[in-house]
This record gives sequence, C-alpha cells and structure tokens, in this order.
Amino acid sequence: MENKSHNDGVEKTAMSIPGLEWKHERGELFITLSGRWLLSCPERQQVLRKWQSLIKQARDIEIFHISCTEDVIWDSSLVIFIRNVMGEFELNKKRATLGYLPDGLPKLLEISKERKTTKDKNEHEGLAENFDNFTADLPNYFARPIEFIGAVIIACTELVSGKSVMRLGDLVESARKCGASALPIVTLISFLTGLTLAFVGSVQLEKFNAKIYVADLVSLAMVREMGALMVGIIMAGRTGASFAAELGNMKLNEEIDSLRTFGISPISFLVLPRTLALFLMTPLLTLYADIVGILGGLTVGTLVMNFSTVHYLEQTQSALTHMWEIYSGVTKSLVFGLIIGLVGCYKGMNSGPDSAALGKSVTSAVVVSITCIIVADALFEMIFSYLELR
Amino acid sequence: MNSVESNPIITVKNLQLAYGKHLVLKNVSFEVEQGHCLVVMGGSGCGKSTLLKSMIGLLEPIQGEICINGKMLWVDNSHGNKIAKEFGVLFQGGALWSSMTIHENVALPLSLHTDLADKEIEELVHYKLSLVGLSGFENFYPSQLSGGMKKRAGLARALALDPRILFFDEPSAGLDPITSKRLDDLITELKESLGMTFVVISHELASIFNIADDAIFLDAKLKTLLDRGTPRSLLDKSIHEEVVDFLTRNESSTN
Repeated sequence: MENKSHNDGVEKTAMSIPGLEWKHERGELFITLSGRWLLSCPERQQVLRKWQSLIKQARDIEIFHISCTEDVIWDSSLVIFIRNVMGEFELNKKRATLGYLPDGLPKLLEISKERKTTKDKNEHEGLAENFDNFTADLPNYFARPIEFIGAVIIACTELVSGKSVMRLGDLVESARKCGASALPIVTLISFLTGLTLAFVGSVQLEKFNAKIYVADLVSLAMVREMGALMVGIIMAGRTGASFAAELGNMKLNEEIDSLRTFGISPISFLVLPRTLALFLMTPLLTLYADIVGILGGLTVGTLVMNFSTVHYLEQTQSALTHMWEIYSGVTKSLVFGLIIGLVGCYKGMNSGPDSAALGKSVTSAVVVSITCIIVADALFEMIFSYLELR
Repeated sequence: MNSVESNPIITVKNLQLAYGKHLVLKNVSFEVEQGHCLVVMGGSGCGKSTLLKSMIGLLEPIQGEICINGKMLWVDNSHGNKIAKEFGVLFQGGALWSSMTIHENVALPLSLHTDLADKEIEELVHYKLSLVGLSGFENFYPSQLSGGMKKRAGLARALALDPRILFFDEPSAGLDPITSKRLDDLITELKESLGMTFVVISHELASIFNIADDAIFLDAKLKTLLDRGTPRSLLDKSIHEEVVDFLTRNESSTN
C-alpha cells in the first residue's frame, strides 16, 4: 500500500526514485528522505549502499536528525529503513532525533519498535530457556517411552486377569485393518521382491552353471530375511503411520481426555487392541509374503529360466528342510509387529496440540519404526549367528 | 439457602497449577454448593480450561487439593474410577469418539462401568439422547452431526452414568446465539429437574447470566482467583476493575 503525504502535489509524485540527502551543520548530520520509498523501486538498493558509505564517513558525528519531505511516497520500505537506522544509532550509542515524518509513519515505528524489543528479548531469553527446557526435559525423553511400555505391560496383565476394558471387537477390527486390508500391497511387494531376487541370482549363478540354486536363494532369502523385513517396512509405513495419525487426531479432539474422564484407560482401550492386532497379524503376513515371494521366484524360474514347476518347487523344498529357517523369520516378525505397534501408538498418544505436530508425529512414527526394525533385524542375525543357528 | 450453602460438593484449596515451569494459577480456593451452577470466567489465557483439566483429573496440581463429593482427587489413585463416575464432562468440541456411533458413544461408559443388560443399556441410551433432543440420531456418526448436535450428544454421554456433577468447557464456543441459548436452557432444565451441580467454563456473559448461581473470576495477570459472587453482585459491587470491565464490556455486547 502506497502512502502519500497530505500536502503533496500531483506533479511532485513524479519523482520516481527514493531520495536521500544530508548536510553537516555544527557537527550534526541532518538527513532528509524524499521521493518514492517503495518496495517496488529497485533503486532503493543504491540508496541503501549510499547510506552505508555515508555512515562510514560520518563515524565521528554524534547527533543525527532524520526527517522526510512532505511529498515523500512511502510504504513499508521507509518504515524498515528508519527502524533499522534508529536501531543502529541506538546500538552505537549515537543520539538521533526524528523530524517531520508523514502521517501514520511515527505510529508504525512505535508499534514495530515495541514488537522488535519483545522479539529481541525473547530471542535472547529463548536460547537460554530452550537449553534449560531441553536439559530439564532430558530425563523425560527416556522416561516417557519407558513409562509408556510399563503402562502397556500393566494393561497386558489386566487383560490376562480379565480386568481389561479392551473390547474384542476393537481387536478384531484392528486385525482386519492391519491384516486382511494389507494383503494387496504385501502381495505386490513380496512378489516383486521374489522376482527381483530370482533375476539377480540367476545372472550370478549362471556363471557357475548352478542356475537351479536360484530356488534356494529366493526361498532362503525370503523366509529368513526379506519376508519379515518387507512386511515390517510395509506395516511401518501403512499401519504404524495410521496408528499415530488416528491416536494423534483423537488427542487433538480431546477424545483421549474424554476416555480418561470416564475412568477408561486409553492404553487398554486404544493402544492394546492395535498393538496386539499388529503383533498377531505381522507373522501371518510374513508367512504369506514368504509364499508369494517364492512364487515370484518360481515365475522367473519357469518362464525365464525354463525350469519345470515341480523341479523348482522340489529344489525349494530341499532348501527349506530345516523349519528353523521359517521360524526365525516369523520370530523376527513378531518383534517387528510389536515395535511398529508400540512406536505408532506412542507417537500418536504423545502428539502435540496442533495439526503440524500431528504430521511430525506420523513421520516420526514411520522413521523410528523402520530404524528400530532394521536395528532389531541386525541384532537378531548377530544372536542367531552367535548361537550357531544359521 | 443456608442448608445448601453448608453442603459443598466440590472443594478446591490453595490450588497451584503449572505446565512444566510455566505457572498458570496459584492460591485458588473455592467451593461449589450442591445443586448450584458455578461459572468460571475470565479473559483468554487466564487458566479457566487448565483449572477444569485439574478438576476432572487430567492435570495434576503442583500444590493444593481438590475434593469431589468427599473424595480427594490426586491423593489416592484407587479412587480414580469411583471419582470418574461422580462427574461427567462436556468438552469444548464434544470430544465424541469418532469411530463410534452416537449410540455407542453413550453406551460405552454404561457397558464398561455397570453390569446392566444390553436391553437396559439400550433403553438408557434412548432416554439420555431424548433428554438432549437427539432421539433418532442413534446410528449417526459424530462427523454427520452439526456442532450444536455434537455438543448435545456429548452432554448425553456425560449424563450416561447419572453423575452428580457436570463440568462444561465453554459450551457456547463456536455456536450461533440461538443454539447457544438452547444449550443454556438445557443446562438450566437439567439442573432444576435432576438437581445436579454444574461447573461451567465460560467467557460469554449472555450464557453466564442465564445459567450461573455463582461465578468466580480468574485474572491472567495475577494468575489467581480475583473475585467471586453472583454475576449480578460482581457487576454491581466488585471492587476489582478487571471484573467490572469484563462484565460491563460483555454485558454491553450482550445487550
């Protein structure tokens, strides 16, 4: 918005650039601003440079007077300029006075000065305060998750002793959402994983004239590692995120508070059915993913490598003679399911009070879940290796 | 009147509330008589909702005590469920459980806290919904209701366990004046017919003058309870400029 002084004539507004003039008088510097002080004037930059050189030359001057001509046309650029200049003077302990300023500008300067002071104060205090809050909250970063896990354990014991408020219907519904509804995506990803493993394996094994071992490679990789891991990652992105969003939104709408006021534990009522459902469904999905992945390998084996279906399946069967290979993947998936459920629910229950915080919680739920899954997977492999189970 | 005054159902003593290091309220003491409607008023950020949170067991005070119907809140956790059954809460947006129908929302506290048969629960749900004028909306989900209807459904749920005390967090917020007046009338009718005690957080004078038997004023600057009395007596006699200002400004806008 352009502002014009009351008395300016039409011919005077033709001045198209911001003006900055000054004169020395008895050791004082009188600065006059004129012309068009508008954000849209590119010449403003030249004037600002001119000001910088002037202020360097006038280092010894202690008293400054700033005023505007009556015909000055201005917008926020003039306010910012005067505000910054006055701030600089204050910082360098120079005396500065304001002469004539167009209507409205003094008030804007006054308001913006107040706000700047408040902000400055907050910035300085903020740093110390943030650090203070961070150190004070540090125990909470560890205590909160432990407290949450403790509450879940208590809820589990209540469930076992028949005192839980968890409803079977909620468990079934959660199991449907995170189990049956995830079948299409699990099918697609697992099939493609098996397919890719077979292609990669076939190229390498062909060099040793051992192409049939592609069945061993696909089946062992799927049941030991890829089945559980892929399902874990899918569940983290799909179900873990949905838990965090669902519970975070409930928190935002005070639904969790209203449960508490009725003496209903949100852990038993909301967290337990979701976590249990995921804990139960992930191994089933993993077994399903193993089968679909093997079928992906079979597709490459029969259609590309020209093995017969029976031959390929017999080779697969011989690779999986030890049931432990399958159990190890399922064991991992149980833990992955638990991790995803707990992390998703924890992030949702501890989401902030606005929608931005909710988004952050959902992202965090996915990132933390996937990281934890991969760490857990590595730990499992180390333990299996140490126990000579591989 | 005297017999009623000697029978406080809620007692708050020297309450001090904070979020982390940020002190919200200090030295707050008051009582609520049985069958009365107490309105907690004050400007934005004065701690009204924080006080309510503490009174309904969602925010632990750093000091002081809250006694509801003879049971101390926050002192002995074993009372938790028992105290929860003593009162109902109507949150600002209704806080209905969005994945459940209105029927399920009202039925849940009954099925979890009572041994009633399904048929009895059903009858009770119909009765509670009819009290708030929502008969026929049993199978609707919260997302299918208007703001006013959500609040009424929330009220029906708050009434589910026949509590002796009802807490309201800004019942008029976000409602048009007519719906807001209807909700006020409903509160008055329930108070008269069921003899319940109400604690209402509000800063809307039209509503305060309609429903309050008693009011307390919280001051954001002093972070404490500044004055108490009936809204009319506060308006006429309060020595605190903030209270008179608050009531006058609102009253003029109400008029």
